[in-house]
Amino acid sequence: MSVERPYVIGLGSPHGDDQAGWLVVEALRLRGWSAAEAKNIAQPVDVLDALPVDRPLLLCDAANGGSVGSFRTWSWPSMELPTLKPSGSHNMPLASVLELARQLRLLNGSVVVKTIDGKNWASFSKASEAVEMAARKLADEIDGGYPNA
Amino acid sequence: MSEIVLDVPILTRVEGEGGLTVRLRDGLVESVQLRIYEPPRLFESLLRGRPLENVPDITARICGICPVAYQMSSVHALEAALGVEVTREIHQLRRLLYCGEWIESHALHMHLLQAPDFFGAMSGIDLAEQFPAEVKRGLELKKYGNELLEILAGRAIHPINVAVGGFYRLPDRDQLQKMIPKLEWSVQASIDATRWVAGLEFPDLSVEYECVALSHSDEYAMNVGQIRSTRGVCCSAADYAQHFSERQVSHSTALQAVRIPGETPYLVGPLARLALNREQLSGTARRLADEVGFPHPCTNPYQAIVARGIELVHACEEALQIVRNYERRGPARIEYAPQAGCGAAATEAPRGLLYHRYEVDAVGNVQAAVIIPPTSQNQGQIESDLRSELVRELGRGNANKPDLELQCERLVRSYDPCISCATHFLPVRWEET
Repeated sequence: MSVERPYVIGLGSPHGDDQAGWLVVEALRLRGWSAAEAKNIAQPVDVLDALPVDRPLLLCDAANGGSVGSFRTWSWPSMELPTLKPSGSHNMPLASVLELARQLRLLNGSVVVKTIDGKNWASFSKASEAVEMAARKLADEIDGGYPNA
Repeated sequence: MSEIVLDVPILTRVEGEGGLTVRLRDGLVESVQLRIYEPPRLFESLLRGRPLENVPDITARICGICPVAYQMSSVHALEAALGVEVTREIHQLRRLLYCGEWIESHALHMHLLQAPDFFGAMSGIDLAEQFPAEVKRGLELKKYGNELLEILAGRAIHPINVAVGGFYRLPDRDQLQKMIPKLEWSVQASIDATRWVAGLEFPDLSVEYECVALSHSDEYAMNVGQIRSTRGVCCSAADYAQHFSERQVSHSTALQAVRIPGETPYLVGPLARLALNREQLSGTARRLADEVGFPHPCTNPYQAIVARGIELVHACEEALQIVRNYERRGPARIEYAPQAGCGAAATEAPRGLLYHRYEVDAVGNVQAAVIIPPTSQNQGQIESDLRSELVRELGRGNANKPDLELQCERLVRSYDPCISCATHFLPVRWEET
């Protein structure tokens, strides 16, 4: 049975392990994924630029609190996404963005959010080795067949 | 004696982290503090000692909403230091970049950040329940602005194709041509959006501003021109420090810019630009400003949402014109040789005038950098406007704390402040024994 490839969005910034989502997308590009299939953004609100999509949506992001390089998975809307306080459009939480997209009927199916835990968030620093490895591993899994990712 | 403290601990729907404290005593406004507590980000220190070629890519990271303005202000300032003159083609492509950034930033602010305030909506999500078509239109406009940035700058967030002297690679003509139908739609969509916001009911506040903006006789100034004010300043960016200065206040991690010698606040941003440059708007934008009865000058800060709409029309129309006429000729970049020098430039970020100044040494390394973002320049004016607004509200008998807090927050949001950009610098005093 063929499995539909997801549209992958990497959320992040150039600062340390916050690059996790971007590294997943970069690794997918090296595996031949086009810009129309995988894209990096810096703010959750820019998820809206990619919508509507005619395939499952997979978001990759960095997370905090677990062991470095470990994965976590959320399925929205059945699971509540962790949110920061909504202190601006820089920080408009992902859950709010997805809710807005649902409200405007830009999002019909469910959304999977995969995160990689990090611990180094210093400005312009490199991502930890464990996060780089985890990003490559996640890209391999996504490339190998969704929804096993 | 009675004392009332209005406290907005976290301002919502603005960029970055800030709050507001207002102290009222015996019915009079005693103090107003726009508190910026986001930690400083020290970009100017980070640039010191770096090769000048790195500067555009580093400064682009100051802001995720207006990276182009940061990048381009640094490029213009460094070109001034190196004596680089660019071609007409490069100049036009740079204007196209600004159009892209203004489109995405203005569309976002109008529809998701400021418009909810006029409909009793708590957020863009609430507004989308009442006005799905309008919010969708705003998001579509934002998307096309970002698409322009991706074509020109490699990517919308933290662009990578901008260089001192021009671009690393000229955009592909076919890719730009594909934007034509989208930009044609955008011109009409931005006209409709402007008519929509012009029909809103605005609080009756009027402020006598000293408006400051870049100004140019031949174009609606975005990245070149003289710095002008409605009270007579007319200077090059090189002379900025003769008219403006920064000061530190205890309640803000961001410096506040003031006019000197009087240390008075001033206004930058869309209202200031329209006050100084209305004649240079595109035909459609100018006619629309007249049609909706936009005052000249406009002294009501809440009407900045209409000013953004008018500029959105201008940006869409100019982008369409540049894209239609674009022929890829080259060169992509003007070559230069490193030399010691000093250069300053000001350009117009969506939120207002953005000033950069650099000193470089003979091998092209940065020796000193000064960056003064629009929100630093508007901070003093925001506090002054809040005073005026509170005096007005108290004068009409409104002493309801939650109402006043909400009204203050609405006023701050009308400025579209970017606190993350403003907290770029903290003076560090080194003491050696």
